Amino acid sequence: MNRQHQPHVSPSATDYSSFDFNVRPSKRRGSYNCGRCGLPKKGHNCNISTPTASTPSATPTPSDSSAVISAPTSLSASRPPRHQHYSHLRRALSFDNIDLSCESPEPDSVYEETVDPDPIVSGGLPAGVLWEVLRRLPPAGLLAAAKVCKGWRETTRRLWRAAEELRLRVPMRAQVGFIGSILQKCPSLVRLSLRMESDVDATMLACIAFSCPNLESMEIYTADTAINRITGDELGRFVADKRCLTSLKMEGCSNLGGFVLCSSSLSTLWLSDLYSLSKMIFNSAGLRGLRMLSLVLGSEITDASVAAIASTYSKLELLDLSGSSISDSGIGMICNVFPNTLSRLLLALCPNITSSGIQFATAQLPLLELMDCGMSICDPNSQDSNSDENCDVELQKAFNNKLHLIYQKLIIKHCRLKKLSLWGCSGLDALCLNCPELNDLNLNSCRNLRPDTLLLQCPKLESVHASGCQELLIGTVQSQVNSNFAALENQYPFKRSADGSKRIRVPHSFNQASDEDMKRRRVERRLCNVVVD
Amino acid sequence: MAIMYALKSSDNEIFEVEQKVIEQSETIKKMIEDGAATGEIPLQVSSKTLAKVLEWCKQRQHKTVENENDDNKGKRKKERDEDDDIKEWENKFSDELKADKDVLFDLLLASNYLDLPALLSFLCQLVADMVAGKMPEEIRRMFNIENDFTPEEEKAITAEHGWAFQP
Repeated sequence: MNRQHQPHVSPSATDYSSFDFNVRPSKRRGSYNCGRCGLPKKGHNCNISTPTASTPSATPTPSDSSAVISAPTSLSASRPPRHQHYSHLRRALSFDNIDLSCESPEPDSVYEETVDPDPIVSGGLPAGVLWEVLRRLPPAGLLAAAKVCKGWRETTRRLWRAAEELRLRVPMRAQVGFIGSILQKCPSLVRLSLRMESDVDATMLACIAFSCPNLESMEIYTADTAINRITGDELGRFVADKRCLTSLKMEGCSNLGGFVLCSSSLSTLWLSDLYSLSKMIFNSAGLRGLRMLSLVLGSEITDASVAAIASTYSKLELLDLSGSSISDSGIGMICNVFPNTLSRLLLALCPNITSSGIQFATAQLPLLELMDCGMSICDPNSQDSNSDENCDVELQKAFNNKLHLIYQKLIIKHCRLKKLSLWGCSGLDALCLNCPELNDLNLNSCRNLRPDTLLLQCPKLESVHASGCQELLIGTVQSQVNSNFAALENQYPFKRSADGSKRIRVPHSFNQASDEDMKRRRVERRLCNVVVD
Repeated sequence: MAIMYALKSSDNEIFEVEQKVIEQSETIKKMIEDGAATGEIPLQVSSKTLAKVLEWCKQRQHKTVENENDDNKGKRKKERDEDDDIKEWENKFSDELKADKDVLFDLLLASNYLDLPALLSFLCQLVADMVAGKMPEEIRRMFNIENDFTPEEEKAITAEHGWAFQP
């Protein structure tokens, strides 16, 4: 851990620490000024050398009770300013499985913001220690801690105030007041993530807009029970109001209708469940800064929408149109506009695209690192195949052979691609990948992919997911992945002869060292994992 | 030959410790650097608590030394085994502390005083885990805290967060 040198607690607050929990701590608090030179301590690095006598434990504070431990304030003075250490520390608390975290408010600065000159310490813990304990509590625990006593209540209040990130599960029966009462406590919130089990509407949106002036990132996820009533107009107003907002994610946007978004700050937009999206209006001046756009499960999103997206945003790095109705010509437009920026393209559940569209995308988008085409190339006879699943392999094979003409082939040669997902592409029967950087390949449920037409030339593959594939295919994947590996090793014992025409085997004694090397390499190289359920 | 230091507890017991072990404490390290630590180093920590602190420091020290001696070969597996060992040790350590809360709180204060960030954060997490999910009354009992709210105040807080205690 490299946090060794970060004092976790504010020494200035540790003057009063007593084991007797019932004794009110002394009214005295640590001085804000350096004990030696008298300058304010904040951000101050005292250059007056520490006199030995003032060294903390060399002169233990005489005390009537042996239980009193006093941590001297002078400790902090000879250290570099605390806030430098804390600035990158993150605080996280969790609420059910969802957390509240606040970007390291240094205890010092937090104390300073309070007008009360007497921060109460209780529970027998120094204020700094109490802070450290409480900041590790989930929000629900924090609310319980607020009821313990005044000192604890004060500390929890400061923790809420310092929170920059809040992740909250909103229970089914909760009213807007629930979110309001929580958000009121944390005015410095920058990131908010809500998992809604109750309905979402414009009132809640207004409450967020009002309570969190500095919001940069907002996520709203909806449970199955919750209805998101927010309309396109309401969302547009919210986005226009929140001038710091850079990232907006919202699930369950079934009532959005059309929308016009205007924001100079927004760089990530993720909207899901756009079932009833009637029209897509892209205000060209609206979202100039957009880098990541996800419009998920919008069956009304067509090639025309792609044209609008392409003409509006020229710098997209991520485009996710999963669950849309776009076709290969839509992919063509994407390729024309984003060849120099797009690194992630997600087109899962797009039934209208074919393997040639995918091939085209990989050929035209040189920066592509992630591509998801899950459930896109589906078996046109999937129903038949499904009923066949219980039959023996031979029968199914015969069936597949009969139909294989309608299956599609996919050939990808790409020098940057790292992740490729073809899950559920049951319409694929041949696959050839030459991707030197590929490390993750998902072939789950590619059940018609044939072993004899599979070729994987991907030396960096670390995992291949192949559950629900033919048995033989799994074997082929395994052997091809391992032969990639073997090929790499076999280069060693051979050496080109002087005329360069022929390879001869180097006598064994020559390459003992390299043998050692290879062994080493074999150990160090992470073997590719073929994952089957 | 390792440099040894003598630590004196508040009840005048002497502990002989290697420099490397006690230098994890920023407070003591500072004292040594300042030259204040000739002879016995007096500490405001009881011998019982100090023994626990040193137990922790030695375990940490053990870990860092072993890591330094490792070369790359097979490091991954070894590290994993080591992590398991440390986890096990920490679990035992925390079980002991959970059983005796007085020792836990003494240790918490000592780690704060001696400026042992790793121990402090470990203990704070331990205490937080003990506090989480408890009702205010249980927490008060645990820490021996007196409820200093007036009934009216208490009512107001409950009204504010009523939902927090709903199932």
